[in-house]
Amino acid sequence: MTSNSDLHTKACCAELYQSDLARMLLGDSLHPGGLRLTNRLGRLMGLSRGHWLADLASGRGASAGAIARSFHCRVIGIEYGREAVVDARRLSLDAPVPADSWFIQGDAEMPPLKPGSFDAVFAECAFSVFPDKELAIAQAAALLKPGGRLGMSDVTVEPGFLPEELNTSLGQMLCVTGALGMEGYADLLSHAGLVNIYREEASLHVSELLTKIKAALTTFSVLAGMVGSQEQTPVFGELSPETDWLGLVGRLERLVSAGQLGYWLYVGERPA
Amino acid sequence: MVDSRKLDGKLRGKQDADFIFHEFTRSICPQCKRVIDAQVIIRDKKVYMRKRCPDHGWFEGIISSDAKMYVDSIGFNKPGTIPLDFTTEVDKGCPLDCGLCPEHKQHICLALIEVNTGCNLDCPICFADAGAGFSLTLEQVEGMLDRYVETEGNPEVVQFSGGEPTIHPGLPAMIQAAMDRGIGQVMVNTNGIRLARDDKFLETMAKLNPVIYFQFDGLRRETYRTIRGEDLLETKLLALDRMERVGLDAVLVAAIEHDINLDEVGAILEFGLENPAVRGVVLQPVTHVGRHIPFDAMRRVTIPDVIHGIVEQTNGRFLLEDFVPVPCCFPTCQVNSYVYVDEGQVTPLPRLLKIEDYLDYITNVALPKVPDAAQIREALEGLWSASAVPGSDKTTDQFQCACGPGLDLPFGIDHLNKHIFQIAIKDFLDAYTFNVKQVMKCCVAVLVPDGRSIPFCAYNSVGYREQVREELTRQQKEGKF
Repeated sequence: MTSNSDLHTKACCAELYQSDLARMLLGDSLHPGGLRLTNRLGRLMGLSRGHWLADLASGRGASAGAIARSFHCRVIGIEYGREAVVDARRLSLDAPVPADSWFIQGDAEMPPLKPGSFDAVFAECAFSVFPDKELAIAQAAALLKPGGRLGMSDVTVEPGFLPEELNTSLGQMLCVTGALGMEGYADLLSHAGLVNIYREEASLHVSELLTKIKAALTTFSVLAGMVGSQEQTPVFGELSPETDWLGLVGRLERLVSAGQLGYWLYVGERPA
Repeated sequence: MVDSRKLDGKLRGKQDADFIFHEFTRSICPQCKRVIDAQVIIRDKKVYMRKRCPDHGWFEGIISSDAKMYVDSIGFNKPGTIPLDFTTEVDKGCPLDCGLCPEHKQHICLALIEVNTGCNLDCPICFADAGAGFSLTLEQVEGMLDRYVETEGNPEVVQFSGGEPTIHPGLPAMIQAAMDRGIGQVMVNTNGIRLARDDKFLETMAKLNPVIYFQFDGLRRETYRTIRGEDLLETKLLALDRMERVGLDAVLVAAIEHDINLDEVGAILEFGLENPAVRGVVLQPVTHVGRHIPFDAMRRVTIPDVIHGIVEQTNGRFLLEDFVPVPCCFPTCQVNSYVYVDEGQVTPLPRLLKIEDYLDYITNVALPKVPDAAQIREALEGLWSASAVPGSDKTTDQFQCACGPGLDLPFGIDHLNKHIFQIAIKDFLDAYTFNVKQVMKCCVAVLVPDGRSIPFCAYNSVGYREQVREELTRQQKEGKF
């Protein structure tokens, strides 16, 4: 049973991902590493022509489209945010190079899809925001045909290392508030009965993202200082002027170098 | 008895040579393409390459018309970055093992994919010698992109070229395939004819939004008649108008030759600065590879000719110091400048910041003592790189970071995208100027379906282009793709 507060989290999270700020920092694919990592995950899942895939928490469909075209697969995206689904459908129809991808609005933790019918299921930056991760992984694994593969890429935060300031909406956007440790996701996959679990570190992409955020913040503070005003551009509208954002980014960079914050890819297989 | 006078009556004695021996390197014979030793010499303040083929004798050609600029550029050379994987092994030695082989000194900043050999023009000058040949399939291009991702990890730029890529029906899917793999910037190298004439194609390009690397040789009809074989001025202007209407960014690319358009470089630059669709200009001395009109190797256009041309033809808007060598490749291969343009006011970035303090890696012992010096150097490395794409968010970010405090920049990246302008001068090698040490650090490569990435100037000068074309043409005739 999903509680009201869980529903609130999902709705709030979905809304956050639809914001311009998220898009500016993360690009259309809304996760570190962008389509580069999506492509890598696709390769690790061993996708090939004609495979059926489910994309859990598909956002505006950038990854689903890219995977469908790159690997000549069929992708069904599930997304909680209504606006994102409408956008995904519109973008897909409008795409100059069509992709075999469809989008339905629904709860990616309990996808309204037929169990046992997918060659692969993938979820990018999704499990870290799912309130009930055990339920979600069981449902996702059930979608797979025997021998099918589940691919996951997500932010890792080792237990106890989340900075206080990130217990906020910014933290949610960065997928860190509900993130598991590096072992946590692997355990999740094996508890769901998946085998041949493979993992690969992609934390370099988090460092790149933090550098980008730092550059944006530096420019902003230099500019604000130059004109001597508190005037804020819409892009930075959500950032409070009192917060030491640069200090926070510096702390996050240190966490990444120490291996306490990262980004990992995981693949597991449903036994044949 | 030794006669103390020569036949002409002058006193016999030791005499100075009329040149300074600058360096020893390797090159190729312009006739048989065999690899031979070569000397780089300085004479009358100009730089020349001299070399001898055992079968074809001596050859000499100019490589820089300003020895000071040539020598001063040498410090602008940074350590290369090693790619994740090499494709060939060291066997015969450079430049016969491309590529990349483990002895290569740089990774790939910019990859070219020549999707076809066919063209809708028949120019007297064409480094690619466009004409009948092959046309790649989407699958081949996907394989090449996948290999590019494998070797680079985070490939920065891919440029689709040809022949003429816009006449390939699969081009939109190929552009999309590059974008789907997360390749940051995609460019299309085109003569613009299809953009000028085909509404549906223009609309498709607008949706995909690659940067258009647009051949634009000048503003005189005669220039096009000589270089392209027909008067294309109206078509070029129409294509630019249409690109602006749909929001496509263009970079003007001009092939520069003496007695044709060297006197137009200033006009091309000023035209670009004023045209709303144009984010930069690339001025390329004509390369005498592929198809070319007869030329005098002692009188080819070199980078300093173009810089001097700009300075002389723009009424003091630009200075020699505004142009700085690019350190990711060999520093004699390319110079760049960036300007901030606002309401007709043009501010070159090198006036705000002493670029050489950051990018002259050999003379400088330490970075300038200013806050964020390391970050500024990183931003400048991004701008002074073969992978810098004008109009891209990344280039804008780097510009902003490099000169943020020095320039009263208005807020907003969208504003800046439209106000930063790139000027690049690239001197590609031909058989007379071919220098193995430049090719060894080349960061522009042609991707080939068999997985190799071959440095651009080696591809054009050494014989790779001919081999690849023959092989692919044969395979396609035999129905292998």
